[in-house]
Amino acid sequence: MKQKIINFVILAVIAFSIITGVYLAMTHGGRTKKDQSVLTKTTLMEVLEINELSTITYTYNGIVPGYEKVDVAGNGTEYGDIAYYVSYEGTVKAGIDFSKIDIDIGEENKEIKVKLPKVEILDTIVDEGSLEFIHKKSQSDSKGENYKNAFWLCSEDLKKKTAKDKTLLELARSNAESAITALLEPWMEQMEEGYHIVVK
Amino acid sequence: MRKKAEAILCFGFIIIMVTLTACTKKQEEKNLQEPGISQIRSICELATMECYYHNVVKGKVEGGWFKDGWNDGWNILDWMRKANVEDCEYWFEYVGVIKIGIDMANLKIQVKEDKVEITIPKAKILSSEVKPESLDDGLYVTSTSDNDGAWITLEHETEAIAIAQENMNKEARENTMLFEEATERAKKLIQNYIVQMGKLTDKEYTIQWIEAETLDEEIAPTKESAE
Repeated sequence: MKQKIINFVILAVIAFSIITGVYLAMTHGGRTKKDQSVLTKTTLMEVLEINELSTITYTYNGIVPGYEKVDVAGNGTEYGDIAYYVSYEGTVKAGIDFSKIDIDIGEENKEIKVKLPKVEILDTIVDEGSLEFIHKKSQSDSKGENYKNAFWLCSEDLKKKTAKDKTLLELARSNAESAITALLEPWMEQMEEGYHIVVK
Repeated sequence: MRKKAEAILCFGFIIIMVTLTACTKKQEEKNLQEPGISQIRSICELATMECYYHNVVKGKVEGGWFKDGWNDGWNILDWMRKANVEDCEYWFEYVGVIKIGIDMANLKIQVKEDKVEITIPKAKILSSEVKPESLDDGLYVTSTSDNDGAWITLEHETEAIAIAQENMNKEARENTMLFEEATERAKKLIQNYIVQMGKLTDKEYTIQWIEAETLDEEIAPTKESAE
């Protein structure tokens, strides 16, 4: 009798342990990390779908000399002495096209290379109402013939200057790199151990 | 017999403890997949905008005799004392960079189930700098006849940098759209991060934005402004 009781207790403990283990596993496991790795080129590109972060509009105000004669219809050749200087207020939109980003995942060295396209000047706008003049020649004035060319001069000046402005292009690239790193790095830190991002 | 019973009891106890440990680890893994404050702080730092300013300073100088002292006159054109010329208008170009971003000291995050509450301050100017070399590269123009294109002395150039710095800071402070753009940039990046975390855990987070009060502070000191 005593032996039967002991055997019963032993079986009960084993059964209880098994049932408890199964119950706990089913109810307190919670959501599990997805078994498959999320690190694919497609997933990373989906993370980078916010295109409006790729460009920023910057202030660009400048001064341009206006010559006595300008061949506007031709190639913009200027002739004669400087008749006036005109200052303008403008803006320039610069950045990169996120859709042209290339991603390379190196599983061996756990490195994700993000290759950026070149920075582009997407738009330049001069505020026509902002033009102001310093006249150098007595015959030039803001209502005369030269005024008609002034807005064109300012627009061309803004385009030319921004296209070769290294500081502007470098800053635009730096802002794009920061945005991409901000999009990818925090998310990856939590999900994939050991991977690091290199943006070029 | 007694030993056998004790062994079986120990075995049962071990099974329960192992199962509990496994469940706790899974719970920890679940917590790691929630949006984290350190990641959001990192995002705010990366969201800082570097704003490029290519600008023009304009001013007027009275001709004739000048008063001494920075507050009373315009010393950059000191040479005009000798020339005793008429009133003069001047312009010069410069380039500066202003960093605008979120002050992370006031940033807070609270995650409750599928709701994320983020207290975020408005963006502010973190630093500003005029590029001294830009004064040599840019145009310098006056309304008098023969003095365009060259600064007279290094001292004049140093003063011009100070004027350009003040001019740039003032314009930036008045440009409220810039601060809104910087705040929106940080919010979009944070939102994207939270959405991506939600996708990984099959959870749809709701974000509640709370704007923290920001004290009106002086702009951070500039870097070395004269060579």
